[in-house]
Amino acid sequence: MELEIKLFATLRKFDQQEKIEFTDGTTVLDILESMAIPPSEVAVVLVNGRHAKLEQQLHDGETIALFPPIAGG
Amino acid sequence: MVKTENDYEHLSKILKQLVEATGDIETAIDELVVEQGIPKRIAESLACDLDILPKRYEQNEGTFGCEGQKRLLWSKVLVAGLGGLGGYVVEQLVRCGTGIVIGVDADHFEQTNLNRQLHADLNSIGLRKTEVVKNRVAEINDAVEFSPFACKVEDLEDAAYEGVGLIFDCLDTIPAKLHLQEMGKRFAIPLVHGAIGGWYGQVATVWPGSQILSHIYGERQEGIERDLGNPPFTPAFVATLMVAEGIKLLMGKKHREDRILFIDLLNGQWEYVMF
Repeated sequence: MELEIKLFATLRKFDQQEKIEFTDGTTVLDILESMAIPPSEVAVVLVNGRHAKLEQQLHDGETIALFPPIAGG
Repeated sequence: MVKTENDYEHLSKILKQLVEATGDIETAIDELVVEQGIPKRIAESLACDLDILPKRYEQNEGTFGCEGQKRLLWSKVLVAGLGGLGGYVVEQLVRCGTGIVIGVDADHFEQTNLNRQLHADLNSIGLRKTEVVKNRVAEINDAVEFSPFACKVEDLEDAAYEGVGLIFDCLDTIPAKLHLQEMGKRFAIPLVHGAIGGWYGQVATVWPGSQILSHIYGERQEGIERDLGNPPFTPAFVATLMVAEGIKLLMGKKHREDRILFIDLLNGQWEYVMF
């Protein structure tokens, strides 16, 4: 299946030029692993614009957005 | 102190007479304060009722209106953290004419603050942040009442939250931010959250009990600011968004939305996350 993955702020460094093929039912966590993104660097996951958990299973055509933790003042 | 509507009407009449006698709203307000022993912000709110704004709010008027300015003068807010975000947040709240501002910070200014904190300068290094900000507030707007609490937010007494209508989270550690979220929940006070790190920032309104910050931070102790630090422009920018958000809330111009705004100043990205 094809997924659109949007990386925000510091996570942009994990952007990959080549397309990765995922099987239906892949979780967000699986994707992080295949892109070598440490889960500790991801604070917020969005699937199709809605807040989602790392365990969420994904389906063809979905958009995933990942945001890092920001906590300075 | 103005206790009843009758008191209010009575004082309003006196202010009107003073304006007619002196021909000047600033002089009339000062005389009313001395004669009646009322706080200056109350005298200014009486002026709002007469549709005469003090000149210092003239440029607010088209945006807030006299009614909005009056609501601000009667507002009490708490700003937790007086560093990068908090310095700019207090500055703008005071220039807006927010009646009572409580400032909480245990720290003293140090050299590492000089790159970004509004009140950090060569003369303020080593001084308590609460004291420096208090003096700054008095220089900008003598109608605003600023109450300093030189302590960690975790040590802040419950009484400090009494009558507070809005909290600004300008803190720089996750445990402190989560503590403030709990206080907002306990006392049913909405919280305008801000956080920064490098080119990046985030802003959200945390409604009592919505626990957005717990969703974002989980068990983490720190964020990307650990490696990226905080350059000068990000706190000023995020603080501005926080104040705009807060003013809308105080003036009743905002409905509940559980969302957080992420800002990337490096790539010009601006994304809302809905919860």
